[in-house]
Order: sequence, then structure tokens, then C-alpha cells
Amino acid sequence: MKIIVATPLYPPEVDNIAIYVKEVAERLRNKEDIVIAAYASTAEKIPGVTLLTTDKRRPLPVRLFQYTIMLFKASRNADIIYAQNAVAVGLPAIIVHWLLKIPVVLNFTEDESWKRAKNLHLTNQPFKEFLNLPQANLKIRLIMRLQGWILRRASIIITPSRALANLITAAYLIRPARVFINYRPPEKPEILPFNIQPVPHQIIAAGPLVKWTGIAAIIRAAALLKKEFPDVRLLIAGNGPEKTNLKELAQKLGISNYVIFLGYVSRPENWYIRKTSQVYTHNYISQDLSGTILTSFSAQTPVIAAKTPATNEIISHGQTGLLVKPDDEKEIAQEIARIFKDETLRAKIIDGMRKTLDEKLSWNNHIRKLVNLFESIQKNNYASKQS
Amino acid sequence: MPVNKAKQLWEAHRANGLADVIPILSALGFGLNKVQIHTEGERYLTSGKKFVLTGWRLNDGKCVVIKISNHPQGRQEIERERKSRIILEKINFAYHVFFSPEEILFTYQQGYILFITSFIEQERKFLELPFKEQFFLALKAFETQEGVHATTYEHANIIRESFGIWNARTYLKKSDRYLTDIALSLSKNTKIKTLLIKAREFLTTNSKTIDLYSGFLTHWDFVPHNFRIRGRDIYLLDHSSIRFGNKYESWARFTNFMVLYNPVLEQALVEYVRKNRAEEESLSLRLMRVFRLTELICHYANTLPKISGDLHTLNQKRIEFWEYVLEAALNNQSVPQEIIEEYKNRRDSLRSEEEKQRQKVLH
Repeated sequence: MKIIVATPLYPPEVDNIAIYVKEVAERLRNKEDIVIAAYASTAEKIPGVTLLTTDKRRPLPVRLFQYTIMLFKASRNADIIYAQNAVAVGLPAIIVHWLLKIPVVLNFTEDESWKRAKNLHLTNQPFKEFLNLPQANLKIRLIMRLQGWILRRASIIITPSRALANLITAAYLIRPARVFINYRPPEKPEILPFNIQPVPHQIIAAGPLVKWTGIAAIIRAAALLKKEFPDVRLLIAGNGPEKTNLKELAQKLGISNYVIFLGYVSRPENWYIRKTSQVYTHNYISQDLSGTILTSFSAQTPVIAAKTPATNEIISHGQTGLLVKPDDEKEIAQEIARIFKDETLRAKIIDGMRKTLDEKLSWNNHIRKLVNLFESIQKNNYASKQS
Repeated sequence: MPVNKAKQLWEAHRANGLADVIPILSALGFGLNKVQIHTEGERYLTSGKKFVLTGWRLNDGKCVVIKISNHPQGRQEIERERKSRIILEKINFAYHVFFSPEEILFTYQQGYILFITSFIEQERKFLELPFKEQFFLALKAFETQEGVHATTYEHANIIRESFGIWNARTYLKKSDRYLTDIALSLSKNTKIKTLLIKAREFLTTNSKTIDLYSGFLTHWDFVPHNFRIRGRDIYLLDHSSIRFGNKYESWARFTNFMVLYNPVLEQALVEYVRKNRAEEESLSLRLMRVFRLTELICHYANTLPKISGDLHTLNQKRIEFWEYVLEAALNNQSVPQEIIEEYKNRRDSLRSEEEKQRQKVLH
């Protein structure tokens, strides 16, 4: 099968899409004919994979046109175009789909318009709220419309969770039958040049410091835990507009010495603090679509998460983590204490997380499902061409 | 230039300059500290055409850093630095935030350009921190820089006028210049000649790898005295050293520096890249280290005609030491600890008291 992986980002870019594309190509190259069509000025090569690039150092309309031509030529005898998210490759992929009747599988991992609005500090809204009433400028609203138009025309859309699928089918008016769930494996573990020793009663929370990530309730939970565990420590990774309020809250509760605001943390440090912490607490009140829980799975740090459709998908209460009522500090504190005290429960959860990683969240599983999907689309496409 | 003339000229320039700027600063509401460490010791060899002074704001005693110059080159450097700060805050393709000291005043007065920023107090210097903190702070700084990759036409438009943009061709061209300068200054040194030819070949053969990781924001003088730590944030002090080039250029400067100041950290960072990133990235780091070592040797070679006495002997020792480090980098090896210690002892015995004091403040 000849698969064209169309991507807006590719290493040396460090974005998740770039890293994912390289990993997928490396894993598929021995069985399939893989062509990567990337927007890139320079690109890391993979033996056995054809790499086509459109120089990004051209004005937007020029590079969009050049990319479309490149994709058209590369797709002439291809079976599938596997487009990674963004409008920049989604639009050319749909044009080529029309011209050559090649199925387009669109991998939707993050919303381009939401991502841009956040990067430009136009919004702090959770994704669901943004989809309903976006705080965004005209350009981003247009991108949102274009994205919806592209999504409605893709042959199949892959999402890394059912929760995300439900949100986008409702917001962009996509037929649910055209959405396929394929869980995304977590990032690779980091190899650090020193031993990692767990710190007793250390809790980690991470995410943007905005109201909907529910950090305030975790701080209040830490204050409750202080009585039973005087050495409790809460590490908070991330930045955001709520930082001052959260610091004041910690001060007010008399635990400012035990609540450590780390700000932005590097990838290796993020790994290190997960590995050294006894529990990762995730109290996102609105739906979380980031991979932050998966990093804790990978680090084998038990997760206590607010119960939402997204967390329900990967956490089975008491088996692979603990689920709590969102924003309920008493329940959060109670469940953290259980993890601190009950070694059997902790071991059971870690074991459950390991199994989930090996089965549901493994690269092998991801690739197998991807190939099965491509093969079934190829067959259907062939059948429809014959008829 | 006769030996020691450079120092005498600098001292005269400093005396006249300070006499000029004290009344200007006073009229603007600023005072100068009695000791100006950044104008002393060996600073005359590197200071260029601007003064970096420390002082305070008269109305509230706030500590400040003052960059000042009346020389076209120094003025241009300060203007460019300020512009770089502004652009850096506006760059909309950066993944992370850069911290810079607060700007207090930027003005032109009586032919001088003055750029005053707040002085960032730090509880502990970088090298006094525990190893893990140093390791993670360094990686955080590198990731922040790597998060700014100018790849598109629109990105290039934002940075073109404020930052230099370097690619393999630029690095090779610079490398050729260093080689010529070193050959002139150290014509009798056959060992360095052989090493430099090897270095040039190494860079040329791998020029594609240099280009592969180019286009990233990089700080070519990323060493502890050019940043300060407050809490868990790193504040960049010298924005004139920012350019878009190979992403391992700042890593290279930092790891080369750490050969002397913390070899364990140097090795840990090299190992980190080797074990966690693509193979070409490790190669890229080596390439940049070789490039920067050639530059460092060139810098010391160029000082030799301007200095005499202990400092001359010291700079010869420096050249010998960095030759070792260059050889080790080319062979993908680390420098034996005894060579580092021997060099440090010799260096300390040859440094002037004034320079020793300056170094204490810096690191």
C-alpha cells in the first residue's frame, strides 16, 4: 500500500505532530510504501521513506499552491493520503482527493483555531466553550470555518479519544460514522543521567493555570492532607493568568512553603517530577484533550482525575487510577491519602496502567488499527471504483 | 599596537567615559557604583565600544544595569540589543516565554546612547546550585530557545532586521576566517594547524547537518554570567548575542564553558542529547562545539600581540588547553580531569588580582 503522510510539521520541528509523523513512518516503512509530504525547509531523513518537501520560506499563497502540486504529483498512484490535522495540509489533501479520487484520512489531534487563539493569548477558554462561543479574531474564525469545511469532506477522521470525537462531530457537523478512534501512545520516556528516587507524599499537578484546570481545588486538598501528612508537597507545573490567585490561596491556607510553582518545565524535568511523585492529580473541570495523563501512565505515577468523558475513557476507577467528582477537594484529598497509605492499591493501579499502556495505548496497537483502517478504506475505494 | 598599549588606551577611554557619563546619569536620576567590575581585569580585551555599568536609581535605590556608548559601533550594538528585546517579546511563533530584566530607560543624551534595565537579584549563582537544578535549568533554557524556530516566510519577515541569520555557509565562512587568523598568529604551532584542518574538514563534511538544525533562536554567548536565575526563571541579560542559527550553538558555548566549571554537567548534557534525541542532533552538537572552540582559540590568538607578561603566558596556556578540548571534541572524547585541573591551577597563578575579583563576581 502506498501511503502519503501529509504533514504541516516535521523534525527538526519539535511539535507533537512532527514527532508523531516520524514515528509512524519509521514503524510502517518496512511493510508499506511511505511518502512523507511535508512543509519544511530542512528535514530529518528516514531510510526507506521518501521525503518530499515544500519550502516554508515562501509567502503563504505560494507555498500552499506549491504544496498542493507536490501532493497531487505524489498521490497519482497512491492508495491513501494520511493528513495530519491542520488546514495547511487538509485543504490541499481535499483538493487532491477531488482530482484523483484518493481517500483522505484526517488525523485530528488538536484544533488549529483553538491552538492559534491560545498562542496569541486571545482565549483561555476550554475547548468545548471555545467551539460554542470562540474568543478569537476574524482570521481565526475563518480558519475555524475552513477547518470545519475540510473535516466534513475527509473520507475518515481519526481522533485520539471518543470525547474529542463527540465534541468535533457536534461542533463541525460531521457524521459520527466517519469518525474513527485510535488512541495515541504517550511520549517516549526520558533517559536521565542520574537515578530517580521517589519522594514520599509528593503530589504533582500540571497544566495551564486557568480556572478550568481546577488547580485551586488541588491546593485546598493539599491543605487538608497537611494534617495527616505533615511532609506533603504539591508541585504545580505550568503558567497562566491564575498564578497570582493560586499563590495567594496557598498563602491563605498556610501551605505556601509546601506548594511549589514550577512554571514552565522542560520535557526531561516533567518526566523527572512525574517519576519522583507519588501521585499525579488531574482536576480539569472541563474536558481535557491533552496527553498529560498519558505521561503519568508512562511514568507509572498513579493518577487521580476528575471524572469527565475524557478521563473515563482511559481510567477505570480502582483499576488504572482513581476518579473523583470534579473540583471536590475533600474527595481529592481522600483519594490521595488512599494512594499514600494503601500500598496494595497503589501496586494494583500501577499494574493496571502498565497493562493499559501495553494494550490500549501501545504503538503496536496504534499502528495495527491504523493499517487495518487503511486496508478497509482501500478495499472500499477499490470496490466503489469497480462498480 | 605596542604591548600594553591596548590596556592603557582602555583605561584612558574608561576614565574619560565615566567622567562624561556621571553627570548625564545624575541628571537622569541615576548614580553609579564605586566599583565597576565589568570595566576591569581582562575586560579591556573584550569590551568593544560600550560600557556595561552598575548603579542605582536615586529616588528609590533600585539597582540597575546601564549600557552606554558614544561610539557608532557601541551605539549600534545597544540599539540592536533593545530592538531584539522588543521583537523577542512580540514573536508569535515562540512556544515559551523569555524573561528579560525590566527596561527602565532608553534615551539619547549628549551624543551617548543609554539603555538602563533593572538589576536581577539572584539568591544563588548558577554554579552554586545543586547539580540537578543546574541540569534542569540549562535544559529549560535550551528548550525555550529551541521553541523559536523561524521556518516560514512570515517568521523570517519578523526577525530579518533584528537578528542575524546563520546557516552552514555562514559557519564555514566564519570558520575560514578564524583559521586564517590563527595561522597568522600561531604560525609556528604545527599541532594546531593539523587540528584546524581536521576541524574544517569535519564541518565541511557535515555541513548538511549544520543546515538541518538551523533557523532556531540561539544565544551565542549562553554562559552563566549572561543570565540570572530568579526563582525558577532564567533572565537573559545580553540580547545582542541572540541570532537565528544552529540550535546547538548555545548548547556548544555552554558545554564548552562547563568543561572548566562543571565537567559533570557538561558530560550529562552531552549524554542527554545522545540518549534522547536523533543521532544527527548529537553530531550537530559536536559540530557546533568544534566551531565555537575554533573561535575561542582564534580569540586568544588574536590577543597575543596586544598583551605581555603573565597575561601573555596565560593566553598561551589558554590556547594550549582549548586545543586539548578541540582535539577531544573531534575525537568524540571527554577531556581528562587532570588536564583540566592542571590548567586551572596554572591559570589561577597567572591571573591578575583584579581579574580574579572580576571572575568572582561573574561566576
